[in-house]
Amino acid sequence: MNWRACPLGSGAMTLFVVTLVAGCGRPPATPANPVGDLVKASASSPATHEGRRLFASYCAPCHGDEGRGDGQNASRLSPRPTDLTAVMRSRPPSEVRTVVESGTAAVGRSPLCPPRVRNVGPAGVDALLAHLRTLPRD
Amino acid sequence: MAVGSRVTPPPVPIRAFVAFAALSLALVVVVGWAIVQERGREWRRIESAFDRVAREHADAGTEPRDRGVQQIWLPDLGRADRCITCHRGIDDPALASAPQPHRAHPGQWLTTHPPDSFGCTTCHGGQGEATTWRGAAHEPIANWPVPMRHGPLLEAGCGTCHRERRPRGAPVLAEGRERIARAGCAGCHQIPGFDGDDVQAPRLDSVGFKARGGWLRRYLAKPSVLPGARMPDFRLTAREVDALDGFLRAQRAVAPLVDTAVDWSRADAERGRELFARARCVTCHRVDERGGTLGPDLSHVGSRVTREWLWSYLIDPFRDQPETLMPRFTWTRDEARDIASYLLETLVDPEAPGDAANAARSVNAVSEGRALFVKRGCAGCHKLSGIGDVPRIGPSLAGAGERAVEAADFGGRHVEPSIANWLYLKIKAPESVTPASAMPTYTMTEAERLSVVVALLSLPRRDPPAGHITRDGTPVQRPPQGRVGEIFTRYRCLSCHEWQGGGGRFSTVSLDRIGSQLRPEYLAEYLQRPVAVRVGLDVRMPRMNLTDEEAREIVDYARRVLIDDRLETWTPPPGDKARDGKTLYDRLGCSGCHGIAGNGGYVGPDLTGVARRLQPAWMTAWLAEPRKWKPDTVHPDYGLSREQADSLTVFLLTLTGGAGAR
Repeated sequence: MNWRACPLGSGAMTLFVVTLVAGCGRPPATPANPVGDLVKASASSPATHEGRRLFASYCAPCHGDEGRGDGQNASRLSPRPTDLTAVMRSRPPSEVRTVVESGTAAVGRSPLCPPRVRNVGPAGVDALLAHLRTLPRD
Repeated sequence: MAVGSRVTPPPVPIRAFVAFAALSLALVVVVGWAIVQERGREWRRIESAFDRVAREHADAGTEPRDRGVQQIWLPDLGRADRCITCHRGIDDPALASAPQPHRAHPGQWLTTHPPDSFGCTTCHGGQGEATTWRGAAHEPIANWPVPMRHGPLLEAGCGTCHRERRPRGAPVLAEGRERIARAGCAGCHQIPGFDGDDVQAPRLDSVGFKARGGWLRRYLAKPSVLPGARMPDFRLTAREVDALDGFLRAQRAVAPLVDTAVDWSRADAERGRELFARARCVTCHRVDERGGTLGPDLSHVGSRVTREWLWSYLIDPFRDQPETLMPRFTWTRDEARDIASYLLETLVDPEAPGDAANAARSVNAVSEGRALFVKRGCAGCHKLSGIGDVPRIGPSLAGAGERAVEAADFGGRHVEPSIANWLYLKIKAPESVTPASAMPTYTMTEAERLSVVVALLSLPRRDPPAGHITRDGTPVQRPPQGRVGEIFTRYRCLSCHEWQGGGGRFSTVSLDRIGSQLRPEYLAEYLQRPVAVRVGLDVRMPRMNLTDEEAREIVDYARRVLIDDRLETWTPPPGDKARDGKTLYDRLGCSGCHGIAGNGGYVGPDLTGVARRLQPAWMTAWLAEPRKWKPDTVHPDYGLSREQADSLTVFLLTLTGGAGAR
């Protein structure tokens, strides 16, 4: 029997082939990996839990939660606390590190921002700097 | 005679020659293939690459290494780790910036955890015996229970040995453990390290007197109607809510105190508001999103509790809740009436249904509710005498971190099979993994959920040797005895203050050495009229109106017992150091945080009159080594010498101003 002569058969064959091609062409769905995604997300954002925590306890009282220099204690200080969002744009990273480690006095400014390296350790300084880099910039 | 005939061997068939040749060739091919394979092994390629990297860093002083497969064998830990076969530069500081896998280990971790004693997989997980990237379980592999831990999951490795509630240097693990404790997971599950934890959920013996009609139904159906509620959502059906509500409202063991002399028609809510403010109730209770979280949120307390119960509770909280963290304040009956009327009239929920919503309860509901109370594990957190101690309803979580993945049921979901994923899904939506799960749903952010997963992953199937395990010191649960013990119990000092490794962490002040830190006259005054020295803090000591006798007892006890021998003597330095001290005070920028007579910041304690507040030996000791006394202090550690600390102390002793003591 010439199958070309049978429209039903040719239709069925076409459908079969299309289904087969479509089935092979679609890659198997990758399984969900919720914890893996969270771990990846935490690796891609440099702001760690630790950086946030240290910033909140050591910096935010004067510099404010977002680092804009508007913390609870800011009005009591002269000179006023620096707007860290601006500092991160204008100052070299090495200077920012020096201030976090050894205080503002170490770069020839007022002593009101104290040294922190003994409190938080070298890893804590790194975490703080990573957090500073994530502060909003406008 | 026949000449010995020679037996001619039959001719060797040509087929045999061919077969022999083929086999020989095959042997040569196989041996050659084996040699090529062996030469081309992954670790050998890395070894050669390492030689190149080491040459490039030679001027930084890298050490030559042995060749071949390297192994750290640690029978006590049950490990044979060959990771250093590829990570050959792991302990070589010269390779700090080399490409992976040759790079040195970051940080100082190997100083405290030398690989020769700890191996690699003890902390990192993975399959230590493998010498291929895949085989070492850098990524999950089938049938290997502990894949390598990356990112925050690595902290689970810390937790297998470090059993402290808040291990230092592992913030995610620490948060996860805190969260497990606070969520009351140990009420239903046996979790190593959490036995004996008290969740501080209210005792329900007399809740029938306490709850306003309709409140329990709303709360049971949706616990989040109480802001900051610690109770999770049990996904109860309307019928179950009715049954539990009926059962709970029938709990009427101890009737509230009644005083017919209290004239409610003369209640003064305005005076109640003032008393509420003066006693600093918001130190522990939140009202309209401000205040502490040690006690329940009071924003809508007027819609939750009855007047009779509230008045009785204010007079004597221990009558209904013997284990409460709340002190028994010294309020008169009329003061309690006024505070109650302030709370009941002002702090109400506009959306709460009226008392009419209180449906009649049937006997059926009570017995059904009782069965539910047991079945859903309510008794794991809430004490109820009629129920008593019932076994935990959930499975033990011992060894949860190394459970076989094959046993984990993902409820038909298409999920990467790992224990971490299973724990995560179970916490996020228990019924999605186990449809009939009795486990309630906790409201958590993704980060919080991850922290709990990390803490659970730190529960190993087999404990490391005892010598490797570190724990918190065993807290002394016993408060002081005798009269001082009574005062401590009544005012619940240890709800907030740290005490010999136990007590609370709500206050920043530990009582362990308070007698060596504060001057007795100041302590006496502070106990009766607590005036915050750190004005920037919301958390302030409540004003509990101690009597003279009570204050005297505590001061006497502090001077005799709550002392630290290291702080008992201080010799003033020779010469007049006050000027040096003042110069140092200015040079260090102390005024950024500390105020003196109105000048300076208010992050740290006000120093006006500090000479009348603190003992000099404590001042010096603190200034020289603040982190020795309080590792997480925000006080800057300037690394001052003893001489500098002494000079500062001499200067501080000149600050005798009167304002600071109040």
